[in-house]
Amino acid sequence: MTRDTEPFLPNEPANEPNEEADWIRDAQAGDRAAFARLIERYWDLLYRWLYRMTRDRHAAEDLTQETFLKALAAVKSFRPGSNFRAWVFRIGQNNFVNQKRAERRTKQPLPDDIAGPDVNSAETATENREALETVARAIDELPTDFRAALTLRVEQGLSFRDVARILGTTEETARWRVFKARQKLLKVLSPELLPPGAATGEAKE
Amino acid sequence: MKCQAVQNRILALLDPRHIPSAFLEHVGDCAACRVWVEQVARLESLIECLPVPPAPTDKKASLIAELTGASVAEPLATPSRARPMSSPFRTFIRENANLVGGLAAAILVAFGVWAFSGSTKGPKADVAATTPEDPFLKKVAGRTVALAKATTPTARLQALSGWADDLGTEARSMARVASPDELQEIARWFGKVKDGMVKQAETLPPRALTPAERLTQFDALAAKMGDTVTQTNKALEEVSQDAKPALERIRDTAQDGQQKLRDLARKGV
Amino acid sequence: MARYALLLTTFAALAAWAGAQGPAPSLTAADQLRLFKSNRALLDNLVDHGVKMSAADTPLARAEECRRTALTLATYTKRAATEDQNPDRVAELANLLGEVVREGLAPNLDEAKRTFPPESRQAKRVGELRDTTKHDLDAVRAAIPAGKVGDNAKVQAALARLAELRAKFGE
Repeated sequence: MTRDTEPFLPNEPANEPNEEADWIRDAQAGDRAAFARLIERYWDLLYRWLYRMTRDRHAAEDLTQETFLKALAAVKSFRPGSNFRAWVFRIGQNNFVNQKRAERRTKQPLPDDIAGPDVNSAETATENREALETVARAIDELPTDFRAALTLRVEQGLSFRDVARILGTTEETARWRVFKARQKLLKVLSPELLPPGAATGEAKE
Repeated sequence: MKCQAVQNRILALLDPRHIPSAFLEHVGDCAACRVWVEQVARLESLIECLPVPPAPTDKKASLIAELTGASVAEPLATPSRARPMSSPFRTFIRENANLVGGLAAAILVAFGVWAFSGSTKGPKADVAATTPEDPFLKKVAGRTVALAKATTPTARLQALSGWADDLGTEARSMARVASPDELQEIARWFGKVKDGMVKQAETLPPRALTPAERLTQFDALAAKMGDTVTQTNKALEEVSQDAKPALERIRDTAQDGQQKLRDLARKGV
Repeated sequence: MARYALLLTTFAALAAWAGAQGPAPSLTAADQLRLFKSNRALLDNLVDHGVKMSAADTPLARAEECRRTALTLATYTKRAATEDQNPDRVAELANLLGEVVREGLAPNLDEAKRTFPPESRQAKRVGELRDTTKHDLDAVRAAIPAGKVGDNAKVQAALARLAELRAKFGE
């Protein structure tokens, strides 16, 4: 497996390291308003990921809140200069793992007002919506470790290094899990993934 | 390079939509891999776009508001907690005006320092420097002391009833923030206190209360349990799914306690 | 006299203003949760003690349970001093310990002492409880390290109150 330089990572918040470093420093000194800014920055991202893990928006919201409360309580233990988002997500991961036994995983159908990609026609919108539903269900069926790694990498746009930190594993293992997740999804989804109108080819041996 | 090897390498990339030149040559020459790469790219894009339903409540805004001091969350479905505006100092002045003298001067200075320092501070609290006292811990310790001072079964019942009330209030107050496990702990405590109440009521010596007193007092205690049932039911309409089992447990325990107390009120009547 | 009247008037005005500020702000949800997590184990112990207390129907039985409650609080106070090194928590727990001993244990011991003949087994037990309580209070004082915790004003005030209480037990 080759390593490549990291391209632009989507979903990354605007790169203002100094501002965030100031907020963290102030929060560690007891400034709760500063911590509130960090919540403002990362809550939605964390909620998104925890929803992906729990498939339950109630559980995801509760876990997100619990995570930030724990982060607030432990903020003095955060090492300045390291990745705050990865640190918070790590706490979220631990909370999710702890709650996994008790959680009731209710698979919810996608709501009617899903925010799909920009579309120009109702027909394309329906097609994409169905594709999104199918992909979401398939991701839901992935083993938890694979799902966690894949969504952190692709949906959250994190590097393999940060994925590894959050999941408490090595970069190689994180990369492998993402690889396996993609492989499994392709196996399950390949007919649905053909772009509209594309011909089916045969793989060379 | 064989197709499988190329495909595996592409799947392990940070982003399979950005294919290094080493693999582009093969993909360019292989129709099957070209289609495959389009599938992978589509999958990656779809994963990025997966929608997320909105959060069911607004815990984000509540937490931010609390941290910035914009507003403080009220506990769910509890009676108004507004404490009377007690002013022990007004009473002190009224009753001890003749003795104030030099003490007034000293207190005046202290108040001045407090008043001015309090008015200039913003909502920031120095978490690192001070740990606030825990009012719930104080209540629980206070109930234990009240039980130590209670020399009659009736006094013990009253103390236990107040304690059950405290626990119900705390559970509803914590339902937004505590984990299910923590709420279940409070529910467990509530159960112990309720069992203690029922036991006291059951073992009350026959001559301790007249039948009429028994009926009045036990019905009053049952009514308080009923209040807990009502308040908890209201809270259940607002809490998340994970908080419900613990609150339901408290509600059911309170209902059980209410019924038992009513039955005991009428025992032998 | 005029100056005294002026002082009194100003004091009354300030106090009226202070009283009009209303009750102290309640805890934020974050604080409430954090405190619950810190105190959960202690709360669990106190609930058990309280429920057992409710089943104790003699002064001696209540004194026994009070002593056990006091020992629990003493243990947590010492832990707050040595492990957490948190002066606010030390002061808070020391004050609660004092309340249990002063309002619960002492009156029940006095009542039990009055109830039993001096040479009885129960009177001897009352004496034992007094001695162990003195020992518990001494142990708390000894466990408070000098410096950040021991030099803290709130901790010193709490320890002073415990020392007064201890002196009464020594009589």
